[in-house]
Formats: sequence, structure tokens, C-alpha cells
Amino acid sequence: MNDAPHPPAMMLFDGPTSQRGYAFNRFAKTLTRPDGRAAFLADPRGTMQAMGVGETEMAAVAARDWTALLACGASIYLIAKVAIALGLTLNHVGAQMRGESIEDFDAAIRARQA
Amino acid sequence: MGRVIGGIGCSHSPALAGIHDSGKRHLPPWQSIFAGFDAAKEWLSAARPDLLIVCYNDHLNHFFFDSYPTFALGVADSFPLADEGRPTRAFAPLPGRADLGWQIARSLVAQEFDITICQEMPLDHGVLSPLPLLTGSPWPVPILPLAVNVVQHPLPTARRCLRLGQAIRQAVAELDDAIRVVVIGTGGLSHQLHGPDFGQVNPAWDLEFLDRLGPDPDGLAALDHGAFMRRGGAEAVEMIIWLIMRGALATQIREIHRTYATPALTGLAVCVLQNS
Repeated sequence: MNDAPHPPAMMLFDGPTSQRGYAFNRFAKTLTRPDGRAAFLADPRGTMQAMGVGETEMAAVAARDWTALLACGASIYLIAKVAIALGLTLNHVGAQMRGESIEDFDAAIRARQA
Repeated sequence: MGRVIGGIGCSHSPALAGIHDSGKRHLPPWQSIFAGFDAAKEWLSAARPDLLIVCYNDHLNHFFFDSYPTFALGVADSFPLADEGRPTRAFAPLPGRADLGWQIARSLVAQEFDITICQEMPLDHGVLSPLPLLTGSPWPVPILPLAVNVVQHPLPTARRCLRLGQAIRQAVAELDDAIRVVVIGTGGLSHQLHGPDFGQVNPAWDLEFLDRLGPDPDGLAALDHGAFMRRGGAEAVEMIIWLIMRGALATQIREIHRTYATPALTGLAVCVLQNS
């Protein structure tokens, strides 16, 4: 994982993606306010439903399936806010997207520390 | 009458903030990059700037996709810290200079850069990760923040960023008073923050970018976004922000300092460029 062996697989966060993910992203943006975080933690599903978040996205949040959220047009920066609100870190998101345990992912990052 | 005296390019990874705030900067993997910031801080202090123009990107902490500006200039006397979804760091609001901001804004628009002008602009880690490392706090120098869209495509081209920097140089030259300006560009270097290659970095590309920044800004500006993303990772496209800083400097520059390291998820760099 040190020297990029190949161009990374990526999704382009473009206009249609942003439009597709708009409701989820708008909900996740409320997590940049204390009242938004409190509402989400008190009632995750109810809070998302009230903001028009779709069933697929709500199920993905419940399952901590960040890869599925990405496919729904979620911005990685807003996915990170959901993860952090739930007590996780960006590394947890990364490990799940790579299909690795958090321990393996953290160890791989540590291995390249220089 | 104003003058750009130099520039700093640096990363803005939240990890820098976390390590700084938790007092772990002397741990081996972090030691070198923090020493690099110390060297940049020493140069900056000796340069005695009256204003720091900080080019960065917001990460959905202030702006949202309801109305997302391509280039946004913060014209205010004070900038609060944005809530990033976790407890806000213990820093005072950052001082601005609305008077200088309006002068710069007038010049940029006259030069046909139709920036969004923001009288309220909370700042996120794009500014706040590196700034305490570069100036210390309480904040000694007012800042003029310039936010760039590197999040939602279509993005401004790398060439547009370089030209905006050149327009900033001209705008500073047109200031009423003899203001000393340092331009800071933040972001990068390589990082990929989604998908199966999450966490991948590319030190070879990062070092090539740093090597070319001084002598070959036009070559870097000729690269399209795909080239930046294939080499550095999707989120590393924010390296185009450094070209604004580079454009604000003279054609001939001297690299005063450079540090590069990969202690966490991203390639981390800090470099100081001075007009020669």
C-alpha cells in the first residue's frame, strides 16, 4: 500500500452523483450542529426518515455499510461525519471499504510510517 | 503597493490537528513533519507578513451542495471555527481584514475572476490543521481565506487555479498600503479516501509534484483532473490549490524548505517558497 501499485479505483463525485445522494448528504450535513447530532443519536431512523433519506441509505447506515452509501451518492466527507457521530473513525470507514479488519488496516498504515 | 513575499504549501490532514492537540508531535512517525512545520513557522515569523492569504477547501463543514461556490473569498474581520461534527478545538476565532478583503475582491473581479464573496465563513481543518503549526496562537496575523471547490465536479482546472494566483499577485500589488503578504496553499498530498484502495498514497508522484512546483508550474497546470486523481488518488485533486499559491509568486522562486512524510492516511508535506 506504500507506493501506489496502480491508479486507485475511484468514483467521480460529479453533478449527477451529488443529485442522487442529495437527501442523504443533506441529512449528514446536520451532524455539523450539536442539535443535529443529538437528534440523530436519539432516533437515527426517525431523523433520517424525516429528512427524506431513502430506505437503502437508512439500511446502509444501520449496517455501517459505507461502501453501499458511496454507491448511493454519499460524499465521503459526509459519510465520515456519520461514522464519527457513531463513535467510529475515518480508519473504520477505510477498513470496511477495503474489506479488511480495522486491526489489519491500522497495521498496514503503521507499516509504512516513515 | 502591497507585495507577495513568499508562499507556503502544506497539507491540511486532520491527523495533524489530532497529533498537535494530543501532544504527540515528538513520536517518531510524526517528528519529521512537525519539525518541517517548525522550520516554516520560523521563516514566516522572520518574513513579518501583515496578511496571510490562505487558499484551502472546505469539507462540507460550512458550504453545502445547496449552493456550492467554485471560488469563495472570506471578507470579514473575524472567522469562527466550523463545527466539523465533533467538539470544536480550543482556538479563538481567526482575525481577518475586511478592508483588505474588499480591495482584493474588487481587483479580482476587475480581472474577471468572479469569486463568491462571503461575509460569514466559518473555517474548517483546511485552514485550522496547519495554521496553528505555522503561526502559533493567539493568532498573530490576520488572514484572508479563499475556499476552492475540489469536492463536487466540475472543478476549476489546475490552469484556472494558477491564473487565479497570478491575479492575486496583481491584486496585492494594487493594495492601497505597503502590505506584506504570504500566500498559503493547503491540501494533499496523495490520498485516496474511498473504495477498495482507501489509504493508498503515492510518494513518487508527491515528490515529483514538489520538484516541479517551483520550476514547472505551467506543466503542472496543464494536467487535467484525471491525471491528478490517477496519480495521487481521487481526493488528492486538491493539490491544484497549491497552484494558486504558486501563481501568486514570481516566476523565479527559491525553495527555502521542504519536508515530506507518510505517517498516516495521506502524503504530508510542507514547503516554503520565496521570491528570488
